[in-house]
Amino acid sequence: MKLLTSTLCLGLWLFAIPGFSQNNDPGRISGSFQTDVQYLFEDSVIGANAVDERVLSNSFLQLTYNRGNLSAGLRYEAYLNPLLGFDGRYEGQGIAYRFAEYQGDKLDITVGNFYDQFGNGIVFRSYQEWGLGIDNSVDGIRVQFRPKEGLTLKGIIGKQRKFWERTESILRGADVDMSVNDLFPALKESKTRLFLGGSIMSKYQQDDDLILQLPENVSAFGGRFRLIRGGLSVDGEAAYKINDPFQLNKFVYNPGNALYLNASYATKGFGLLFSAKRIDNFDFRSERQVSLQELSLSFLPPISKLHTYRLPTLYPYATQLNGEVGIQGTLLYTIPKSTVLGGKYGTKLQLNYSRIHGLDTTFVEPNFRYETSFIGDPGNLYFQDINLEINRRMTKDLRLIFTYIYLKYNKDIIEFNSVNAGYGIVNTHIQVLETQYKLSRRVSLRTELQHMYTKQDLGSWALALAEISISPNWYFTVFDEWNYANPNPELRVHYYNGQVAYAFESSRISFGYSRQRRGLLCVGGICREVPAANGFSLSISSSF
Amino acid sequence: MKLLRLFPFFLLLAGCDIIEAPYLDNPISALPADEQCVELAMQTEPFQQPIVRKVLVEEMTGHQCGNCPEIGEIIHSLKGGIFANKMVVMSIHAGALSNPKSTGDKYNTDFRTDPGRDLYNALNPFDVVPLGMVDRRDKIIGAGAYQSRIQQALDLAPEAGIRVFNCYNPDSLRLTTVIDVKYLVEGGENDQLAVYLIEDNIKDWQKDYRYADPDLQGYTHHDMLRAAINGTWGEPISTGPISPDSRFTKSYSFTLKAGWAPENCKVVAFLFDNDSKEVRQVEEAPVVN
Repeated sequence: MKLLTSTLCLGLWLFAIPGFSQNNDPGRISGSFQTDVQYLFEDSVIGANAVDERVLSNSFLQLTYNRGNLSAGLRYEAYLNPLLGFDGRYEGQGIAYRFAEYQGDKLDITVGNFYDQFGNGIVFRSYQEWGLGIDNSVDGIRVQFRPKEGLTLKGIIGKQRKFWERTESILRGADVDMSVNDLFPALKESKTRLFLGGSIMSKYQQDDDLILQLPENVSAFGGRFRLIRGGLSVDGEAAYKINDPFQLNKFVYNPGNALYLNASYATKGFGLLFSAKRIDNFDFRSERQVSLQELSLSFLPPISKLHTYRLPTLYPYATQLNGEVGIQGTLLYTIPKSTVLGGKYGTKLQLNYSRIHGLDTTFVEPNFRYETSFIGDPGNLYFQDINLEINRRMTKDLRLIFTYIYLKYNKDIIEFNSVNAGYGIVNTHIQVLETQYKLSRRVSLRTELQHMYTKQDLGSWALALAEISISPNWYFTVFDEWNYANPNPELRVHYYNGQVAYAFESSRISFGYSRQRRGLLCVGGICREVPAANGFSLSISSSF
Repeated sequence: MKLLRLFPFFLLLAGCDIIEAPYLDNPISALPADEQCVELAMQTEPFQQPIVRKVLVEEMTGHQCGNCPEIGEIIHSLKGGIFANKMVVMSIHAGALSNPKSTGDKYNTDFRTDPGRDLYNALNPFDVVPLGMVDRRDKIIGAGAYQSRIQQALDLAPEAGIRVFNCYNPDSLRLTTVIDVKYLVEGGENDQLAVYLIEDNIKDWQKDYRYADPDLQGYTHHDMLRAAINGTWGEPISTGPISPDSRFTKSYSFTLKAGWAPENCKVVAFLFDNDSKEVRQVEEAPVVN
């Protein structure tokens, strides 16, 4: 901690030296603050435990000082004690993030902590997701060089954050990003735009295993392109990782690879998107002894639609990093206004389909190496989602959105990473009707009626939600989630939620009560398990 | 564009250590299989921190018991749901309703075992199925009490930690299991360690009175007791007094029977007081990792 503090003081002292900046600008401090507090009760019906502390809280304050080309900042974090479902190793408080940065015309230099990603993040993505308890910032040095327009070179070296410590491993990486049209003057005016990139990420961790021969230097390589012409856009990224046996891939020595392809075409009132991906043993972490989402280096974006309505989030898809093959297609169409089908204001339709299945692996060297085909095993379904959204403005003040979702969810694989968990594939039919009604110039009402039908797992659910917004300050939300057809009659319970929020300037204070079911909380396809809970919550956030 | 030529330099910064077979370092592979397993176990961290309490739920059942599936499903859903990773289940087929039929094509499989019979006779004097036991403290006949009784048992402070480490040879069907026990409190002079083999996901006939046709073919039987690895009542963990932080390591070898699916088998180990029979801690681990 002394090291962190002294580094920060040195940075700030540099800024204070007269003449270090380019003018008399005294600089500017900006920041953000958030605290989330839970007060929890025991609720034996849903399996929610009381906690000894009664009150749990996660908080941070981020401060950034900018002066000319220079900036420096820090983030204080406090987990007293961590909120329910967060890793207990966050317990404590202190400066978790600090940096100093110079940004020139051609050269940027960062020392200390930083977040970054190469391309789409397949070989390297360092990021923070406060709601999931993920922070894998790198503590080290980053240099970014732009020798000419259209070309950016980047290099990093450092160690990843591991709760309140740093990893044993050392990370080294480099990335090149090119805009071909900007690099070659002859192509500058071309209507076709081409972007190319390549990256490498490497980690070093000592082999201290007495049983296995483990690689101490493991590298991943990636190449990417993006082509744009008019409404057509095609992009892709392919990555390869050398053998990286570790706990979560069950110590297999296969090299890993990942392939993503996206294509989209959009014109007025019409859009078509297609995506495909294949992942084989591409879980890339900075250490071997890890669990859950800890210390990830690679970010493998999900290929299914990320539903935001609450009932579909009972069965979210989480990318299976050890292997999967998937496709997704989305059709967007706007029925023109002032037509029979489109109505006075037009109607938006969105049809989406995604399907993800597993690989068919056959071990050729027992426990250590397997073979698999490119297309995997289409019969080994992990997830399938067919959904249709109809979004129609009925009057000047009323909008209706109807959504139908049909999900197939392999609970054994997604939640237990096992073919023998005994749950099988859960089939669900979900209907959602959302209304948005403007009651007056300042007051609007939003409601949701949701229903999910299934005979499996926890049975069917229903949900009703009402949200009133009184601009610009007040927000009131209540909803009830009812597991009315749980196979166990004692668990046919209501999960009540109520929240009031007050927003002013760039701050927001919210207070609520919730009885929360156990499940997965996912952000961007990355999930963490949330235990059942019953209690009050308070959240205060502000930026300045 | 000359700068682009510098890019390979960055590639040199990152090394690649490609490992070819054999992947094992040598010394242990020279040992006999059972000793290899013990060595492997000794070189891994046995206890996840913090050590938490887990609960053993034993279910006395039978394939001709039409009231049993409802209870079995409740227990299974609790294990996969709110008590995931907190409970271990052992389903004991014993009593008259577990007898196999010698005629017809239903209920011909014999799921009974000698240790199952002994446990049934000792712990189920009323000869009733379904009967559930939570850490052998509570006997439960109805369906409604499982969740609260399990929660009550989980609320007790952990008394010991158990680690189960398995090595399995698919050619010889030979299983070696290494059990580590670490006491957190003072041990009892009658503490015993019992080690069992169970098999999950067995498909066979089961009677279920919730259906108009109660004879279900292909019913999934979960966590069924197959064998006692160190005897029905296990063996004493120590011959002397046991102080907090005492650690004991035991290893056993056992050959699986042909027809059992090793990928569905698990080793269950628990520590119990041989006077009261109450269970102090339990753990399980799959035979095949």
